Amino acid sequence: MSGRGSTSDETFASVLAAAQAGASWACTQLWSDHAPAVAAFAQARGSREPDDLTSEVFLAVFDRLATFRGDAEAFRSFVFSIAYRRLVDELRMRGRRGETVELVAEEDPRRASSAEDEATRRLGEHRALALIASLPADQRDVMMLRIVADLTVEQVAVVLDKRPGAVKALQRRALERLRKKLDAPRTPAGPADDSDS
Amino acid sequence: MITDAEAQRLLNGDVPDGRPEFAELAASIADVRHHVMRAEPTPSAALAARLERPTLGVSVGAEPTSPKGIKKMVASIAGLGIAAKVAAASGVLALGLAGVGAAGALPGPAQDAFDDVVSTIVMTEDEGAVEECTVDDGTTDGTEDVALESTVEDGTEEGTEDGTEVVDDTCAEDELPVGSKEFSSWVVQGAQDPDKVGAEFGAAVSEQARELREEKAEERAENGTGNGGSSNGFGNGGRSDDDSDDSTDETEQAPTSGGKSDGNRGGRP
Repeated sequence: MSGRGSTSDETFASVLAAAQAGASWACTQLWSDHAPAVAAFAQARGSREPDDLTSEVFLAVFDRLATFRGDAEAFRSFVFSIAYRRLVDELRMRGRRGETVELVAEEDPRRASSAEDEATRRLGEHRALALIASLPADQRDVMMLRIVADLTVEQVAVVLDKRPGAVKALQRRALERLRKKLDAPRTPAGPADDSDS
Repeated sequence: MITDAEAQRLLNGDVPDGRPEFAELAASIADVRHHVMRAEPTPSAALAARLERPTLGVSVGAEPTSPKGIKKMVASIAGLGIAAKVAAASGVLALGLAGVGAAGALPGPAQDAFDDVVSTIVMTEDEGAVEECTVDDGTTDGTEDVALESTVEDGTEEGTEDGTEVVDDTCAEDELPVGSKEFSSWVVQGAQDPDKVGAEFGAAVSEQARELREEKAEERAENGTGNGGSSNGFGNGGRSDDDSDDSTDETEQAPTSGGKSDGNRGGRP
């Protein structure tokens, strides 16, 4: 995922200045450039309403836009810092209140037509994502921000308020753990490894 | 051991040179990158409005809801000193008692005392002032942005662009009711208006009640009457005096908390 937006570094400054001056087109440009990645990150990280969360994030971004100073990379870190905090808030709130999930008949696993469907689903497009989701929380955050949000190590360090060296170490451990999980035999006993998370 | 360069290649979905054992992991990461790609999400109504008019200074989504407003009020009270807290509490208590007293719902002796105070104070100002000048700390800074969003919950426009209906604290202090009837009706109105129930309004009630009490005391001193009934009625008169001292403290601190309140409430619809 390129995800770095269609706004080049050269034009970012002018777009930012226009947005800070209240130009509608510039705000829309910032939204278009960054919202898909924010929504993808929110969804991959478990938000129930990723679109709503993304809107909330950008309302906060626009509220603080006047005080922002920096280049395109700094702006991306700025946006994802807000997104990460909002996401953590949502997950924490959900954890406190308990979760109610709407029953959707089509998604009810008891309606799976066969074991083959389940096997296909497990081995399908969500398998890698599920593997990442099974990582310990700090490693998972780093991997999601690196892969889904497409942030650099330095940007992830800003978002998570860690040192770049710490982010690199977490990233390395996560990759090694993922490789071991992928190498493990794909038997029904596989999910036992989830205890790591 | 994975080097930083190898990690970067893996995260890009590429297999690091000479590391075929990472082929499956690289493919999985590339798969994730591919599948998490999303179209531009649909902005919420609040954000869509903001994108159309970015100059709106305060976002709808950022406005505090009522529970948050209450929390902020509690937090602002919690941040006050002991004396100010007591004054705030006494203000709210006075507000409640005055409202109940005006409604004639106090227990016998207390209602007698209330009636005594209310009925013996001479009215000195015109009653229209109460109607014209509401005591509400939900003032705006006069900017169009906030005024446009100051729609009260019943759907009516509280603040207009010319700001004629938005009354600031200065106006409220200038025209606080002094006479007994106005005072009681002012308190009753305030007690029925959820926007006016708060530390600041309570402090204003407290202060006003103190002034009324002092006026009455002076009047009695001039007349040379002891008015034992009244003393009995206010058997806790000593405490009331203490409260009024605290009220003074609160009055001194009120602008600080009022300033915070204004900031918080400024964006509330």
